[in-house]
Amino acid sequence: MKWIGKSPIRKEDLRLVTGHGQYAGDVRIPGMLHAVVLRSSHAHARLKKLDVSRAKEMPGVVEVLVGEDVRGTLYQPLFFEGTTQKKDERLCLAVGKVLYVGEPIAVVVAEDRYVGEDALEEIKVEYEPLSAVVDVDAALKPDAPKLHEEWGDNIGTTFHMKGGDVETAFKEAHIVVSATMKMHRHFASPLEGRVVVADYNPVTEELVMWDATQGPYRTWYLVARVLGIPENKLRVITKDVGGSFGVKNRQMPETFLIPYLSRKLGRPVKWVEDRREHFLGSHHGRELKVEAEMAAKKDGTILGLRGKIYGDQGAQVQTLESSIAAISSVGPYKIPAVDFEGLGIVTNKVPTGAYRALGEQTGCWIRECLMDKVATKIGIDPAAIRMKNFIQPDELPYQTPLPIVTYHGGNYPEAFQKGLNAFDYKGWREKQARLRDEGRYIGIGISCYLEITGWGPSKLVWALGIKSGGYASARVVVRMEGQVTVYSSVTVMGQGAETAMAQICAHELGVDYEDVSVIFGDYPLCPPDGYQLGASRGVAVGGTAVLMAARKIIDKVKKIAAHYLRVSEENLEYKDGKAVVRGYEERFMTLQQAARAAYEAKDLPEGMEPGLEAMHTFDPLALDWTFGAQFAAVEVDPETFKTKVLDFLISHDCGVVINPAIVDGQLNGAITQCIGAAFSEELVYDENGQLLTTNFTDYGLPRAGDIPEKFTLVSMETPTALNPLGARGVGESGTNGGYAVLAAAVKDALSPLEYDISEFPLTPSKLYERVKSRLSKSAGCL
Amino acid sequence: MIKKYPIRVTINGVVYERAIEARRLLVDFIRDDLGLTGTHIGCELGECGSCTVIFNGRMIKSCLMFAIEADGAEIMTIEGLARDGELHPIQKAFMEAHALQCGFCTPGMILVTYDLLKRIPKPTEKQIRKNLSGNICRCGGYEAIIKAVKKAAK
Repeated sequence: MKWIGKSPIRKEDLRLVTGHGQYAGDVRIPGMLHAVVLRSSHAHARLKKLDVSRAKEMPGVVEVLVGEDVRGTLYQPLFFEGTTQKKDERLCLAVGKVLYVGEPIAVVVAEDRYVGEDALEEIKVEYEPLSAVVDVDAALKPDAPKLHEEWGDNIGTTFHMKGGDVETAFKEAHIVVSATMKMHRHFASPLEGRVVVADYNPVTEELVMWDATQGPYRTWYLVARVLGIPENKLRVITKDVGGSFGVKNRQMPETFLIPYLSRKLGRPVKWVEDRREHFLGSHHGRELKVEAEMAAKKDGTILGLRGKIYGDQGAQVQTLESSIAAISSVGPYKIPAVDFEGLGIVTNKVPTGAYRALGEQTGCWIRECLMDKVATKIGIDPAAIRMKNFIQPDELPYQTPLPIVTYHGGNYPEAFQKGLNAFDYKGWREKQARLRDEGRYIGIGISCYLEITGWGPSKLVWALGIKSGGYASARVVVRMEGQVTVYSSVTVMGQGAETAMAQICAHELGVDYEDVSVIFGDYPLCPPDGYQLGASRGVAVGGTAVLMAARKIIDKVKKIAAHYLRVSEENLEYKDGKAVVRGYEERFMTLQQAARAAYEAKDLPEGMEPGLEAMHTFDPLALDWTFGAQFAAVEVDPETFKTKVLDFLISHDCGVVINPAIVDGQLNGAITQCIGAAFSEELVYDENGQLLTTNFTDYGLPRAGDIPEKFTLVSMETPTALNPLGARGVGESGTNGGYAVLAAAVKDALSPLEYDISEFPLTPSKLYERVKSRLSKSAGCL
Repeated sequence: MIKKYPIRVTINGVVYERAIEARRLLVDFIRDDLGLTGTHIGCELGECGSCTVIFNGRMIKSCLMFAIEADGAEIMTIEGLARDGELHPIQKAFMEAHALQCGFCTPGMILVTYDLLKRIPKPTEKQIRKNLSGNICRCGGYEAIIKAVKKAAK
């Protein structure tokens, strides 16, 4: 039975369409208390006094904790640590100073959430406000207010990545183009916020937690470590997660506060953040400023790319988006010299962390935008300059100037050409010319990219500053009657990992998809995951672990079958769920028969252990790169400056596709996120560090009316050699090129005004503001 | 001691009599007091639609109503859509169209679809997009959901 390449109804779906999803927020335990967090209302201030006495006395309030109560006991383990990163204390509740609006300063535990929120209002906080820095330019000034006085500045970390002879490249170039580009602050904002539930049993001293996280294994070992709980006394459960896109990829203050409280009180404690808290207390994403330049020959051959990237880290260095921007700046092209320096700068805003393919969209945008400028300068079509510079398939594997950026497989020019044809690029250019004559502002954009997937070899992940490995594992158990259970290290947060693992296992073992169950998100029962789910590794890494475990099962089945059928193993082949004697198809042993034999142990080969299960842990060999080419046609309304996406096409190659419908959904969702990011989403701070956008009215997530009128997906499947599945990752890849292509399309639409797009977002008001000066030239409107 | 008020609500055909505070939101009552956790909370401000339920025959956002206002009402939540183990055609359509990913918006999307198809049995694409615009989906990009609605309308 072939299950790879099919789109069966997902394992997740039945429970989700009937309202029986198992989200952490759905957990109800008798005697459960509710925790509510008090958050700083100042962006930068000394915490002079915190008086919780009145709150503690309120009926229904069971406990109130402040920073001093847990300092030295609880802390936030680092998720990322750059090589030059300066130290700061990562407390769970602030002490002495607050660094951003939203920073946790106290936690109340009450009989219900309503009473808890009443109690928050009774907590008296005395702040001594300090000046705040809210952008990287201000933060870098020598006299800027410092988040950490002992640092002497606001630079949290730095990096420098380079390869090839950049000096010569720029000296000898015929053409040098440059840009200062700003990617704005926005974030993942999944529909489900963060949730932590903890239930400590004082009799058994066991603690059970439910965490809406991408990494339950990581929660498990970090909570054990931080709280000093023996590993065999802690259980962490993560079943359904209502989306994450990176924002639930690290353990945050509440991850440790809640189990701590449950253990202290000997009662279950639940914490569910509300939407405003998600805006102020989770993490933000993307905010980067880039100064970059590209060197080229006059025929459009790119010679070099260099620049400086300023990352606005918010109040804590939690990731280094700017370094990933540098890594992904090379793309699918032969760029012989690359040099990027970066700074991770702290500001008095919510810390920035991961959001779907963090940094990659900026890396892509830098390069694609500068390539378009080169193309314009020499008068060639944007499609032509891409074709000119692609890495050819026979040049793969290809080592770029950056040591960690090596591309392994694919056919970039062919995938690009396929996209170009399917989009009818020529037809669109003709249509554009006609519609322009009618006075309409139509633009066409192109972007190409290679997405980092299959994250990643453990040694490399550590070397890049992430404090974890990159392996995934699976334990496949065949039951006596032939049912199969896969214990997988994946997490389920919308990308269909439960389904994909079942498909891979069913395909390899030759059983029915219906007969495979996947158990995930339960630690320490499930096998460990070096990293967590994210970084487009579910199928490539988690799926490979399932495949390899299934193959170990097949090895054992053949041994059992050889024994029962009295043939040597070499004469057996495993297909369609049976070990079959070659040339004698009527002589076989089914998987189920082998399982029965293995568990009954009536007559097993000498020395063979009874049972039929196998475990495999897969540590990726290298980062793998998924190619994508995106094409967009947009129209900008001359009166409202609203952009409508008329046509959007992605041509991509993620290797072997396990479930086409899931891939389709992932890409569709990613593009919609790009549309939101470009045209309606922006996290806005005022000069005092107050976040002005804290709900969905102010922060415009895209809705059903905002999606492209036409959306097409063209797929190529060049199997990767990096894993036996042949699959690369795809979960993030839509976002990689989406920003660049929309910026290019809007710029093209407004080209009669010769207006350069170098800043996101491209909301109607922002476009209007920036284009205003040109309006006077053309009498009043576009 | 905060005052509590008795209410009597019928949800998915079952009558519930409880005493609740005046300020208790309907969605919290449904989820926490009654354990019907298929109705979700995404924003508490009526912006995202994940709390959608059918209230006396029409869709409402249950985070924008106090439980006390539901006294005497008949409510259907997502748990009440399937009957006798048979999935509703809308639920089947969503699964077949691969219209869900994380599932958090799904109950709301399904009930909004239920409400739409009762009022407009054969909606156009434009009508579908418009009527879904009160519900946010962050995972899926809406295309598959629109397909599901069209499928269910057949």
